[in-house]
Amino acid sequence: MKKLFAFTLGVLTAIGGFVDIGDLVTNALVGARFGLHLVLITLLGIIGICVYAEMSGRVVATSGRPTFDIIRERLGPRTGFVALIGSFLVTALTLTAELGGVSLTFELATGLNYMLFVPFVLVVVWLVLWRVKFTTMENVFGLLGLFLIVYAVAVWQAHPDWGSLAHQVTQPRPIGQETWPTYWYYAIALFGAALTPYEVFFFSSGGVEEHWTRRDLKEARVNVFIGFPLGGILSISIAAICALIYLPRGIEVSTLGQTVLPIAFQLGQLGLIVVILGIFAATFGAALETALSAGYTIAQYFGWQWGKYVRPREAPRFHALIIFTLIAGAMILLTTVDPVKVTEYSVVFSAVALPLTYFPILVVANDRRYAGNYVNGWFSNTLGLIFLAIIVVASVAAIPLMIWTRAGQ
Amino acid sequence: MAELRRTTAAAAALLAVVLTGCAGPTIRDQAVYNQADKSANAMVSELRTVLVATKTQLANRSWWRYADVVVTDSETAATSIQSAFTSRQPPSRSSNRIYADTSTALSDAAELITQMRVALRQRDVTTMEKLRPEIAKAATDLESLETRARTQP
Amino acid sequence: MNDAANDQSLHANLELLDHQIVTLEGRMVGKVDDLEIDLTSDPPIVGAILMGPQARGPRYPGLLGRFVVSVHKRMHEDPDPQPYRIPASSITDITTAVEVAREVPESERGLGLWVREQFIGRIPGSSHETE
Repeated sequence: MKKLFAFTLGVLTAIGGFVDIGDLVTNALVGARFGLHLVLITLLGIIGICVYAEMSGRVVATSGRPTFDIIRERLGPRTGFVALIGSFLVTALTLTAELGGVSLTFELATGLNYMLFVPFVLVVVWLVLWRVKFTTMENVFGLLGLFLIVYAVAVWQAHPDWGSLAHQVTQPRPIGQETWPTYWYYAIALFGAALTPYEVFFFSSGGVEEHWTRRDLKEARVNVFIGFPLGGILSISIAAICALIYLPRGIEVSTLGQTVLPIAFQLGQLGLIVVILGIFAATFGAALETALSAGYTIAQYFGWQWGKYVRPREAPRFHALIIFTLIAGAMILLTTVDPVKVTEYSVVFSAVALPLTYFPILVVANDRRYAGNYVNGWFSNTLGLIFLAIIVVASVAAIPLMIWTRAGQ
Repeated sequence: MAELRRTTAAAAALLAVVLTGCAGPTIRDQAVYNQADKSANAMVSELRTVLVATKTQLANRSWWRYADVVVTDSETAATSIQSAFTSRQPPSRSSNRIYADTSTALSDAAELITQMRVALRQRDVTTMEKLRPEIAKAATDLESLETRARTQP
Repeated sequence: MNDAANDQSLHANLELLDHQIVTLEGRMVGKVDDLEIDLTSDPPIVGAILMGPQARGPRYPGLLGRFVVSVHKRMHEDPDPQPYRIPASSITDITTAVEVAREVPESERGLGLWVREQFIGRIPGSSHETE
């Protein structure tokens, strides 16, 4: 039983982390405009997050030190501070998007305006963080998040021309009226959605919350190599169903309602209930993770006590940080800014912040003091360096492309 | 020598002004065509979303409140697409035609979506079914307009 | 550099500075924000590790550093606060974290104490175990 529960850490992190509001919206949007012509980028993103999550999981299982904790000692306080500001701001923005996503699922279910739900969602998310055990949180939302498999079911049920879909995958280029700059802009967005910084913060801090030791290393690897690809398949399914139903009709995705419409179209009311539950679980789970990660990053930089594994009294600054970040996110939403727009920006800014997160992981995974006998072999290092290069290119190109294409026009 | 150069320069400038006056559509006209193309494209997306959502609801494959959210979101977007386009001032007579045609088409489309939202909230299935082919036609008309705007010289 | 407690050589920059400080029970206390080094001996000896905004501030460049130091000065009771000092003799182990045999008094935990007493501590359930 313990093994089954441990497995769900990876699944939650994967589903809730891989398929959060960012993946949902970005893949739906991309599928409707580019079909499956960007799937290779998604696959690349899956491999990238697997490589780096495995490295940070290995480091935390061996040394008991999660990723952000180590950033300051390896980069120094000044560069570490820059990494902190960047990572924290991006994580806070992602949290805002997730809170918006949860509120939107209530709107879809009840018909009432999503803003009415924002204060309610804020309180419930905080209550869960305050009182519910770390492992219980993961299990519940990990299992519920699996409802998103309904996207894969819908694709199957639509009896698509698999040959034509496969053909699209192998042709990574813009189609119709789309241009290369928008193609690459959305490639960066997809990458940012797949590799959002909070995923590794949460995954590696979670290792400490769950008291991982060297013996848990194998489990951690199973979590990564099964959990994240599962999340990736779901992402591709989301893009595929939107490609099948929206692309021929010239429909572009800009609301959460449009993201679930293909499911209702294809699978009826039951499908609609399942998908809304699934999105609720994924976004709620991601809201929990991003809120915790906001606390993890700052507390770990300053060395303050953090974590749900101690009494809240013993980690007061950590919990205060979480509360303030949640309130800030809710206030941003209450300014009537469109949560889907916030999501679209959050994934691109995630791409910008990626090198700050991933470079220290690569350095530390090669350091015997942290990784013990489990330092990177040539394979991990080769993959790590390749992805670091890609990440740096994406990070540098993100803002110029955003300006040039006016955020995807 | 300097005087001669100055005169030549002045003459060249005068010539340039005269020539551009006689030229066809200006760069700002092109902006109107681009905007007509984009606005038509965006409106088609909203019209077709409404079609898919209402088809789904009429086939009992969703529930009323959900369909309401989708159609209302489309209505909000349609209104904003329309007002963003019509608030522009066409810079010259060459773009008046496309401006007028696009404005009319966009406002008709937005109106249809509003009517559909009203019918949907009242669960007026008959009216909904009557509106659907009109919405479909509005979409295809806007698509022709898109092509026209794209291929303007 | 010599660690006066264990009399072993270590690379203070790599193995001490900016590392996590933990108590014997594993509770996190802060980071090694600065070092007190006795340069007169050969090799130089680390006399103490320093913690807190007074220690960390000067290591930030220019304006940011001065800002951190001045804010801490203003909020501290003592008009000329010194950085919190843990003598090297209290260090019990150095792995990736620095273990010390000392409880850091609440007054030196600055903002943390205020937050605990006035804010988090007052929310119901703050003393409950969640694991």
